[in-house]
Amino acid sequence: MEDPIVLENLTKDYGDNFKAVDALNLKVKRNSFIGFLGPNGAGKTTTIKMLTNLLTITSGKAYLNGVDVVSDPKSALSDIGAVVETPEFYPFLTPIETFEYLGSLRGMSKQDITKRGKEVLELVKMTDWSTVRIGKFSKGMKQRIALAQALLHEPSLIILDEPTSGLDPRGMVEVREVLLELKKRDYTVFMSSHMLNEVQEICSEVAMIDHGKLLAYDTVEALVSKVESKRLEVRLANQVSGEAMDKLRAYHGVELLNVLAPNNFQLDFKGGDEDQAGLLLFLQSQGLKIVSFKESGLALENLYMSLIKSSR
Amino acid sequence: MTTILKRNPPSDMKQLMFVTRYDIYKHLRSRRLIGFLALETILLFFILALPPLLGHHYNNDPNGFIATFTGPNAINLLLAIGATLFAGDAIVSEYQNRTGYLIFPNPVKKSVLFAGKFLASVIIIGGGVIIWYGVAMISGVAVTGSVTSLAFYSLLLALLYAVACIGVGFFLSTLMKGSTGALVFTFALLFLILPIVDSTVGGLGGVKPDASLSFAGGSVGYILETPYPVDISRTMHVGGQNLTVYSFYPDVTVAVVTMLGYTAILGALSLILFKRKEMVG
Repeated sequence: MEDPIVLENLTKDYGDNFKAVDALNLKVKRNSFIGFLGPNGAGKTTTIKMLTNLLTITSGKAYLNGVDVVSDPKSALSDIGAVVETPEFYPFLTPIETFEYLGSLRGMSKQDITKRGKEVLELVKMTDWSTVRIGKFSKGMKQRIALAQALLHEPSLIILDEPTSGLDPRGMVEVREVLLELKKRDYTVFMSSHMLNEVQEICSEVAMIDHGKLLAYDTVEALVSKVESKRLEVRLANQVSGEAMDKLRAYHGVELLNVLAPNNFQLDFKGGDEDQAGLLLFLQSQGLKIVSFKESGLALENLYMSLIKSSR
Repeated sequence: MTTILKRNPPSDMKQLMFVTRYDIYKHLRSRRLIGFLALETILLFFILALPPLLGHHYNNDPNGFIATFTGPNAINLLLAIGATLFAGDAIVSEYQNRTGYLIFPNPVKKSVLFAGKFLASVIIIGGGVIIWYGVAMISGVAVTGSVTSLAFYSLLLALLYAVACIGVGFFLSTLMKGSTGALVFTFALLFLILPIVDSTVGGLGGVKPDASLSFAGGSVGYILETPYPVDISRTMHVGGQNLTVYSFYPDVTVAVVTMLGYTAILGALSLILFKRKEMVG
């Protein structure tokens, strides 16, 4: 079976020396949940739009399930479900009517559409709204219907472009629940995002891009293990002395020290678990009454920031 | 590369039927179709009710009776409004309203989406024209006792003119960036700008505007006149100077070619523009 997504030197050139996507190469493995990470303007949405027939490709190749997106878009798109940007619906149609339209275009029978329509509405918790016109829905509800239509025909590949973008906290939690449910099932999911906590929580693999170029692509564990420096936050019951701080600055592995308050500081520490345990003992030996000693921020965030920084 | 697909999408022809059906359904749900039919009913009511209300008699000539439905401007107004409502923003709205993000990533060719939408517009406006002529012919039989073949030729020309107007609407819809602009420009072009250009170029300039769609559309009404009117010019003395005013009438064959030309050329250009149009922003 072919890889669900293959990009070969994919390029989108808008002229004036501006390449939104610059010779991007990527192979996505089947049944993986990929987070496609990058800052705003990195080329994530442009890549997804080229994959889904919304933008033309300047040069290079893009294959979906082995089918060339440019030469045979109809076949290439036949086994994918996509939610790109925040799609709008025909406001006068209900979710069921929308499913009937999209399902028929995708080759589903009426019985199939009815059965799957119920299932996907249940999955996104919109069953009670199945016969209400979509024009009356909130943005979060529309996003859940967008996810439902993408799953309607049980595609092997789902492409999502920042699916929680613009949602309120409750909407984000609801969409994340759906995504976690998808992870348990037999799908390949390719999801762009700039929400690192979301990616680290949901995705099994991560591809990072900036300036339209791939910076890193690996499993979340492998990428996290590459992060050498951890950010630690320490809170004390007493006030920290200047002498103790000077000794801490000189301690092996301490790279950056930030005093946040007289009894609270943050430091970047390079070392393994044993080294970290040794640091804790050292702090205690300096007479510091430690209330909490914890890693702050995400390992993926640290890697992301360092990769983005070095690519600029 | 080889491929394994779980489900094959239907043929282009089947998808065309789905797109057409749902486009008509959308117009029905959005009340545009009901509004169009309501307007048609009001126009027909005035044409039929005004003569007796004003104390006039109906035209007793079968062709003359039908001609009250084809002019002045009644059918043109209906077709301009129809083309505006069902073609003017058919394409641009998918981009402006962001519904393209829902439709375009599906396994359906843009040419099929275009053809389905075009066909939906033809069915709706064509249906409106057939209802219009149906009422005209039935009431014509009731008033004059007969309907001549010229009424049917007029119907065919009206249908052809409707399709050409839809071509104009689709062209503007692919060319423009906003729905409102596309709607206003479609109506203005079909109902105001082109007729004004015809009068200026033809009536005062002395150039027969055979290439104008609205001039060709005039054949819908003129075909009911026996004999078919011929071009004339009159010279008048105005302010000590001679002024020649021209009255041109479209040749039916030339009018048919013009209307077909508009449909084919603008349809093809619209399709090319639609295929190249990207979903940005």
